[in-house]
Amino acid sequence: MKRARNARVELLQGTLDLLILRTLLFGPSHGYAIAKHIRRTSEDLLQVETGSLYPALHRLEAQGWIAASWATSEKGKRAKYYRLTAEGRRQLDAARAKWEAFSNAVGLVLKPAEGERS
Amino acid sequence: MRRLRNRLLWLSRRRRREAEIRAELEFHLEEETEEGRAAGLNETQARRAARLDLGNPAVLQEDIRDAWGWAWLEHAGQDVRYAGRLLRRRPAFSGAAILTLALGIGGATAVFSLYEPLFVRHLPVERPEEFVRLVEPGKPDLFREVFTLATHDWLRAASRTLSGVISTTRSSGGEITVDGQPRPANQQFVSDNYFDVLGVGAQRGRVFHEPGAGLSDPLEAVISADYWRTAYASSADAIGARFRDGNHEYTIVGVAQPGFRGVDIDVPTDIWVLVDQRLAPADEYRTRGRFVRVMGRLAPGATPAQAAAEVSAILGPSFEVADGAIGYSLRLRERLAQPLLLVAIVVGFVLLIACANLANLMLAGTKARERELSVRAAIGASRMRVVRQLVTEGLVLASAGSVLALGVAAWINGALLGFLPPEDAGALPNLRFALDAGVLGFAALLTCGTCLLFTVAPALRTTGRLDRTGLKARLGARRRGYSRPLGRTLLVGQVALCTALLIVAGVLVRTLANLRGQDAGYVEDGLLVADVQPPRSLDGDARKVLLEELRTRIEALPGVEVAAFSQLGQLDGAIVFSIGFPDRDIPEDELPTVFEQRISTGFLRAMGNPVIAGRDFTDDDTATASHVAIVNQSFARQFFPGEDSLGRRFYRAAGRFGVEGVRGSPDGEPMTIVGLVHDSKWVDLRQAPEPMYYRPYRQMGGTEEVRFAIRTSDAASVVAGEIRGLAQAIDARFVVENVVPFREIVDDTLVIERITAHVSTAFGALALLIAAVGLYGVLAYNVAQRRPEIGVRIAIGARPRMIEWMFLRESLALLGVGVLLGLPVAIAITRFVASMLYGLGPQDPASIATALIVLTAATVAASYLPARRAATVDPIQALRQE
Repeated sequence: MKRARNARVELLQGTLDLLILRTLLFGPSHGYAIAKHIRRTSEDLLQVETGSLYPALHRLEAQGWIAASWATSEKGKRAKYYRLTAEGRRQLDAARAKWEAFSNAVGLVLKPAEGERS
Repeated sequence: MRRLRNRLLWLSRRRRREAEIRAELEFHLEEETEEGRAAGLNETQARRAARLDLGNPAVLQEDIRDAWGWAWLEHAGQDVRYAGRLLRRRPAFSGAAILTLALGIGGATAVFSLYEPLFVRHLPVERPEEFVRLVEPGKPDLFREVFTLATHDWLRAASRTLSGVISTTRSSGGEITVDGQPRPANQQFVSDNYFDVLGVGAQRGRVFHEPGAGLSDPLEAVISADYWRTAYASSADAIGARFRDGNHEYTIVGVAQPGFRGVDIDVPTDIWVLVDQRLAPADEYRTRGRFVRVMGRLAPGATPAQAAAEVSAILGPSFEVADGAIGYSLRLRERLAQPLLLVAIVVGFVLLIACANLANLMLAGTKARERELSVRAAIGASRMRVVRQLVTEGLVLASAGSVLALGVAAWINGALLGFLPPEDAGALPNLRFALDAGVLGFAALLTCGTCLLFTVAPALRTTGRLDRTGLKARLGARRRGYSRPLGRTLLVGQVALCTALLIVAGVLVRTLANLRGQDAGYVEDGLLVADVQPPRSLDGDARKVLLEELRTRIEALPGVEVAAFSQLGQLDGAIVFSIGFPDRDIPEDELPTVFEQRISTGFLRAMGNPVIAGRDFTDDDTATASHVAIVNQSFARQFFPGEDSLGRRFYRAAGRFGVEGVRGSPDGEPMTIVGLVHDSKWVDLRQAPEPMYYRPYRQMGGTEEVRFAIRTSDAASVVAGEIRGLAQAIDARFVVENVVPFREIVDDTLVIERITAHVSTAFGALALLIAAVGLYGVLAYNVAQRRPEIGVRIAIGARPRMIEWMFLRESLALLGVGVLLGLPVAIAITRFVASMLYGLGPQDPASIATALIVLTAATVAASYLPARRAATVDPIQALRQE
């Protein structure tokens, strides 16, 4: 399995939470599927380390933003599935708004001004 | 909320969640392995890649667990379990540590359990912090808090800052008659708004309410819950039950709420009666007699300062207010303030010594664990984590000690209260040890404090020197872990505190011995006393006859050498009168005052204070014979210096308020001095004897009660029965009480001295033991550490004596420094309590010398064994250890 090392981006803890919540918006899934989804959707740029993923999942579960239950996977094995709670949905909207504001702000600073060489 | 709930759920399903985490990670591993295989790797490679991606499973699981936020709890649990195992492996050390902690914390808690009800605890009334007491600080003790009813009425009507003003008499022991039987009961007279203002209700029947019932018939009374339980077995019959007090008939109308014992701490009240029912509004005694205390509740928004200003304005500038939340305590608070402080200091020192000891032992002990701690550091424990572990060990010890300490505190509290004389015993319900929030809180706080004291410093020391990079060779690692400067400082501190304690104990013990052993003008041994009341209905002369009859009959008993009586008992007080001299012209307000005592024939012989010049009273000194008196040496010295006082005359002038507050009547006829005796102490053992004269009982008016003094070798119990029998035979209405050896009377006056002497000695000895054991432990450890060095010394020619001396010298040096530091502390304390001493100064050389000798002996004894062991080290063995 190749990894796109050169494009690895470091994720802040808050951002990882945002990604997880967003992923779960599509429906419940287990930890491995979430990681795979994030990797695929970001075109291999974001590779979530297992060492950060599971602590993050459990933290979110502790906070009540996601809920967990054990179910059988499509391959017939027992796995822990996470799903978004109502509170999690609200937090997702809030986090998303914050992220967009943040990225807008950074973009404004980075945008070349009129007449400035880029 | 949801978050907390989730976390709590997580906490409760511990085993299952461990399995769940493992399963979850296992699943992840399998999925990734499959993906690897799908990408073309074989089973082994795929699995390996998956594992690599997962990382360290232990760390991952730990991180996951941390995410739930209970890491600290789990760590704490681990620490506690580990500490428990460790301590179980060292039973001698743990046992000794727990025991010393229990004694130290227990002692301090006991002191607190006595201090709190007297000085801190608020009355169990509604919003006690709003109460103030009226005081007149300029007046002598007896009248500082006592006023006339008129004062109360005035203040109540005029005050704005006080929403309610109540008056109470002192709760005092008395006797009532229930169904014809006498019964002791503490009574208190109160104003009609007493219960209303205090906010105390009834649990049965009703309490007094404003306005009062007026002179109902029978009069109304409210009883306390305690009295209800003891006198009426908490039955409903109590309401409506009747009793007599003197000439008044009462009926009980209610029982006060449980836990309320009146506003007096010294004497819990059993029965409350309206003062208005005994003193009508027009009665002149309302304006003349000072006998009520006045308390008031601050109105909403009013401050004590405002109340004080208003009180001064209404009543006069000499009046002030003081805090009322803690109630009234005339005797105990004053008497016990300084002794309690002293005991607190003593106990505090013991606790500090115990902590220093434990700190030293922990320091030495962790040296042996340096390996283990290094391993912990190496595999990733932060310094804080290791320190936390060590502190937890201390906490486990301290907690075990504190559980024991509660039992110790109860015992010590009981022992201290056991010293209280019967007259103060009424306060016991308020002072007895109870496991209430205050006591438990204090014990818990003390436990944490002591734990921190003896664990933090050593823990930081030890972990600071930990070798984190690996496990270095033992060579050169000898002195690490046990920090000699810190250890030595602790030892010096212990010695200093011990010095102070022993010196303080010494002066207190000597004070007690001085007080007891002084020539107080009587012979204590073989002396019994008894309180005798002749029938009340008889007049003075008839009483005198009966008393004389009783006296002769008692003296006739076999085994009784002398029987006699006096108006007041020795050490119970004397009455003060002013006297004048027929041949001297002294203006009336300059007449000297002396003590007077009325005695029967034989009294001076009975007390062992025989006449030294002239004669004793005889049966010829009757009421019709000429008036005579016997004086003591102080009297003769003061009024007839250098002359013979026999044959001289003086007369008694108008009486003043004496010790007992009795007003005497003018007595014009001069008395002739016929005898001279040594001085003896009548008020208390500390005061120097005052000039005094004795008068034959027959020549004075009869009194209601006399104190018999009986010189006999028989036991009190035997004599008591005989006396009662004789008294009953003469007149069935005679009352004979308190037949006790005179020694008990003396003991009762020495309560404070006995308490402080016993406590300081007991705790001083304990402190010495702890310190000696500590010294021994540290020395033994030191010797073991330095075995190689000793071996070298012996190998190159040192004699055993020299080795012994080397170690002994160190101990003595520590002793010296400790003593030097402890002496000023001791002197400071003895100066502070100088008023408690008797017959010696604060810098008493004998006490200091004794303390030093004892300390030196203890130091040498503690050092002896380790020093000897050092001297007998086999050099070859020791060098091999190297």
